[in-house]
Amino acid sequence: MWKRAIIIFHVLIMILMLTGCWNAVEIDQQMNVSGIATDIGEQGRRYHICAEIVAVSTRGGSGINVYVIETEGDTIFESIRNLMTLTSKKLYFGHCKTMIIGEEIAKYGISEILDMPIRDHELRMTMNIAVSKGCAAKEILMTEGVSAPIISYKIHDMIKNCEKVIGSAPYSKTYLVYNCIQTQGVCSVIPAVELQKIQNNKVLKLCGAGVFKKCKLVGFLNELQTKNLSFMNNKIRSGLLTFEAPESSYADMSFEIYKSKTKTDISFDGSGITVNITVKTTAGIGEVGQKANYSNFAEIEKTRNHLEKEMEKDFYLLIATSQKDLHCDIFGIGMQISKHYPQKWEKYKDNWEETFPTVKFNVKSEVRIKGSGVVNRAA
Amino acid sequence: MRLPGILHSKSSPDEKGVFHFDEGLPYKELHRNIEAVEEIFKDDSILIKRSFANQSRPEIKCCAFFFDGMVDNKIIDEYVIKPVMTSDFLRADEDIADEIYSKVIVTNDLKKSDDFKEITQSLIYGDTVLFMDGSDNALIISTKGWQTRAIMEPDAEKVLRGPREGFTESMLVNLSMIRRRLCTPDLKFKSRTFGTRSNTKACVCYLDSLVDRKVLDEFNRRLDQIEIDGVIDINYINEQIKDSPFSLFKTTGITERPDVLAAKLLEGKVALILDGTPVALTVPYLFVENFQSGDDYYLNFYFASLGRFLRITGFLISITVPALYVAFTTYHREMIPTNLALSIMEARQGIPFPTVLECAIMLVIFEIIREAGLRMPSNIGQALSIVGALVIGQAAVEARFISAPMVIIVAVTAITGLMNVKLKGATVILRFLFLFAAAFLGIFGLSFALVGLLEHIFSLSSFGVVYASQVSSFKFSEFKDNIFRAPWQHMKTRPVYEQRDTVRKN
Repeated sequence: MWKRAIIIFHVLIMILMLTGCWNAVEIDQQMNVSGIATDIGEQGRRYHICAEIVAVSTRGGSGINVYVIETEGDTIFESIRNLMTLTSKKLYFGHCKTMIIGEEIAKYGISEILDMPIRDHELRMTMNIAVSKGCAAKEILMTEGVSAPIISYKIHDMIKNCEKVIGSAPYSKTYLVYNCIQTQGVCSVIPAVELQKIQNNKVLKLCGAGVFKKCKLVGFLNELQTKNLSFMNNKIRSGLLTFEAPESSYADMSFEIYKSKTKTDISFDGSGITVNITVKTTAGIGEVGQKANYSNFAEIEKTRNHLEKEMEKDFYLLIATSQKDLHCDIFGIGMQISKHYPQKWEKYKDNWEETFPTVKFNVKSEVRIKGSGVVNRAA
Repeated sequence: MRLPGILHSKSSPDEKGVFHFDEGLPYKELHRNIEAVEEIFKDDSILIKRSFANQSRPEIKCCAFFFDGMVDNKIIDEYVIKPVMTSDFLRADEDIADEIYSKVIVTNDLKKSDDFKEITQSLIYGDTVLFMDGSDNALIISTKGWQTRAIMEPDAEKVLRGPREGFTESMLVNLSMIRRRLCTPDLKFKSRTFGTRSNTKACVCYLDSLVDRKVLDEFNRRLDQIEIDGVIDINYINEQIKDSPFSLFKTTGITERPDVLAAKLLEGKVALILDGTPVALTVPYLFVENFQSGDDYYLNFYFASLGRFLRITGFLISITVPALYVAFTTYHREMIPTNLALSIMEARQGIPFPTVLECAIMLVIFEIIREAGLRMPSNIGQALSIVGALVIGQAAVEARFISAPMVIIVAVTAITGLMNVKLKGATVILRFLFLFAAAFLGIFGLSFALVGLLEHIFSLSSFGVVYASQVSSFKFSEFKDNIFRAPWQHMKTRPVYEQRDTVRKN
């Protein structure tokens, strides 16, 4: 009996004492950080950190107040701890959804910045990463929100919605970006945000993506390029395709993407690498600015051929940008070679940066037009 | 040889103060019998003595005893006293009792007795005893006719559709209701008495061909061991025979409905019906029975399954929701959706108590309101609802004593807690245990408590049957009557536990 009680006592003690940290904090005893912006330090320190804090109003009145506090430090962790000297309550990062990295600091490299969110438990790995374009990250956090007062959550929602509806921002969770940086033969592409001036107001806008070679920012893609990249990487889920009508005297036409599947084939011939990319898309006609009768099969066929040609044209343009301007393997061709042809990859591994611009691309677009909506004949 | 007369000290209690109606024989002389009865029931002014004689043969003298208010006066007047007085063929000889038994008294339940124990017992229970001069036998005429409550639908076990009858305080009425539902000689009623002073009548019922002998023997064995002087309600017996008497969970079932009892007998269970209480006891009792209701079997099986499912979910919600809320808000804030976290944060601004204390206070207040509602006279209910709803619900939130989400949490907990009346006690206590486990260790502590609860439930048994049978394995046939209720044509077997005849239909 005593022996049993002693055993149970010890088991309980072990269970209670040896199982990670436990720490009860009342929910109102802490401040919610919704997002962080990282820039180059201004006062001789390495980092300048801004945190957007969501505070709820005390007693009477309702709604939330958003503040931005800023501090500097030599590491991200130190800077975050320094933030706490500015607040009365503990800062809580469990609901921190966005980290904006300034354009300037991104050019120096982001792997040091991403180390802490991955290594430490305080920041979550599912946080979105975005890079600012044409301004410092803190300026982004300090804009006035138009529809949503919390900028970080707004960016989070924008990235999420764009991914689904417009199909233009690549996936951007911290752990994915980190994995991407560590993987050979692929460049990470992170959503970019910029400030647009509308009638003296600065408005936040999602503007394509920043391209990173290893961990350094080398350039930006615009929205269209980002969308085409998603197409070629088989990441697109839905979105729009807008092109000039076959007869250029008419207005443009738009197609809605229902489904798209991309197949990449890599072949080696003699000295060079040839990549065959086939994009199979199912789309519906969303809007046409021309007179056309879509109950006529030939008319659909004509539109389809036009669409395929236009898409291929765009894809080749993106390939040219990546090979000639950015010198960056944003399609992950190197990664695919290393996966499927590990022996061959040994050869290219060390000089992939030089090899990539010489890769030959053949892009083929196959479109299936599924419907013309409820209108057969445009007036 | 037995001599007439009541054997010593029949009318006075023994040293423990308990009356023993020891055997004794009636005398041949009427006046001595009268004296004997009056000696037994001395100082009892409710006992009525009616002496009379035959009209044509006045030497035939009789005396009837009965208790006022417990008898049907019409039977005594019309069918006992009148025929004995007016019959003109009686002879005053030794067979007078037989004569009257067979030719005069016209009631259906009539007994001849020469045993004072039986005579006094019957008299107490509403029968009329007739002594005749010259006979050492007494006639016991069944004239029970006391007032009973009408058969009503029990408040605690209402159904939407289905039989509306409920048990009453009269055992005989109750037995008749069961017999009407199971018209078979297989149905056995074994009577016994409890209480050395109260001599309360009780009846063990079962279906002879279905009952598990082991359960029945164990039940009888435990009933035999009961030592108590008075039994007023079935719970006096229940607490003395149930397994794991200190468990939070009930291991014996109680019901106020004859239809439910009949259904349980058909599952091979044993029931105990006690005189003076409208509640019957059934064993063995399984964990799933906590969630069963008569409605489950009388309504369409879709709705029945939905109801069953809701009740089980309700139980889980009721025991875990306060604990989950405390765990989420004090340990796992990242698990709350952001917007919800913000509004909880806002609601909690300026609340003076920690969440766990706030929760415990509200739960205790709810229990107080519930208990008050149960005990108070119904005509002051309005005051309670105003104080409960306005002061505690609204004013407390506005004064920032309590946060609004907590009121919602406690309300949800309270409503779901009321869903399973049979588990009420267990729910309340488990709720607090879980709350403190979660306050101490978060979800981790809550999981601990839940595992402990499961372990406890699975370790219980009821009269040799595993308490968690029917929920403990993934046997297909078990699922026909636990979370779901299968259509009747598919319930071909009785619930799976040890018994003889499991096939419901061939």
